[in-house]
Amino acid sequence: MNKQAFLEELRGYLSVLEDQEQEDIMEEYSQHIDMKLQKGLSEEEAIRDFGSMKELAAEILEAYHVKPEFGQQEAGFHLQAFVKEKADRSGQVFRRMGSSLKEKSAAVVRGIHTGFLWMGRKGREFAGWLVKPYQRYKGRRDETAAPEDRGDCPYADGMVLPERAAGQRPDRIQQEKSGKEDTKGRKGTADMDGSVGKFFWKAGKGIAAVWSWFLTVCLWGLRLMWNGAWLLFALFCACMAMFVLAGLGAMLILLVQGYPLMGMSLMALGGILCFGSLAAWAYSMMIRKKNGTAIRGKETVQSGEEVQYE
Amino acid sequence: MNPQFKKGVLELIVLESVREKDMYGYELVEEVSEVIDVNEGTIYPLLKRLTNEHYFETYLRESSEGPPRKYYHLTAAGILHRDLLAKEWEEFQLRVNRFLKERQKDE
Repeated sequence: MNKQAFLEELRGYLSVLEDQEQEDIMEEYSQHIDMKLQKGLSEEEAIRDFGSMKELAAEILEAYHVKPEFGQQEAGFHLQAFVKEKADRSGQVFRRMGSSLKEKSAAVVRGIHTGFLWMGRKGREFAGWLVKPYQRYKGRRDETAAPEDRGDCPYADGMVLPERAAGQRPDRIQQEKSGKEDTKGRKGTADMDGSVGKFFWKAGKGIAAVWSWFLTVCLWGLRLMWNGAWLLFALFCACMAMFVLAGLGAMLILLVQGYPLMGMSLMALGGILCFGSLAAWAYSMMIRKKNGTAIRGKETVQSGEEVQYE
Repeated sequence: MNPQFKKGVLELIVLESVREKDMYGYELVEEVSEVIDVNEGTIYPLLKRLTNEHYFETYLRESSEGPPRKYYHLTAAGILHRDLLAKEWEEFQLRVNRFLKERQKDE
């Protein structure tokens, strides 16, 4: 084996080390062989004195605190490719977990929102149910008397008289229908019924308004709690990232001074990226209002009660 | 000589060799080879380890016979480490010799 082949083979065993370190070692052994050649030895003889290539490579790697087994995998082994492959696999797993988590959290939010909408709808129906007996009574009354109480109230939906539909005033219709037979006492009863109806209608409307207000407060409180929790988490992660960043700075200074802190520095760098990402993610989970519209991710909640999922 | 003996004492010999004057790799290998028969290739990894542990400092010096040579210089930490190893070696070889002599007397 000549000098060039020896150095190439040795470099193959040491490919796990940094390029600069490899060059350093190659330079040292190359110089050693050159000096032996100057003393009259042949290249083969000079190289033979180094002994077994595997043992030599194992001792060099041991000096760098690297497991000698790494050196045995010289054929086709590249640390960068190894690390890249592992990182790609980890990235795919985390991406899948992230998208799954995002879908599930969006589904939960959608479910909560739909639930509140359902409760709101049921609340309105309940309010309508409260005034329903009066609606029936009123409907029967409208067929014979007190047409002036009809039409404007929401609980009389779909019960418009044909004459009103034709554009005639209710009082005229009533007058034409009842004529002179309509007595003062009858009119007084109708007025009393109308005022009671208005009272129930307003009570129903009030219940619906209170229920709507209650739901609004609930949603507001829920959003406040949600945002507060995510904000606290984001602040915690940001503080941790800053703390690790300070640690990384100190470690880099020690690293330059020659302390073996490369692994710790890489861990600190990973910690910064991790906490920074968590802080950004937590911030993105907060529901923010923009021009009267609450926005979180792709979900858009209009200022009213309708929800649109883009 | 038993390879395990050589391996154990090699570090002390290398440190002691560089204590007097700074040396480059090949020069150091020759110096050590005069004391014990050692594989030349094993000296360089040892030098690297001792440098990583801050017992040695290295610097390049121009040479009239070829490219610049890397010289090894013993640091203060290296001197302390060398003294510690020398003390341990003294104690070790004294105990072993005493034991061997006692056994020889018994016979």
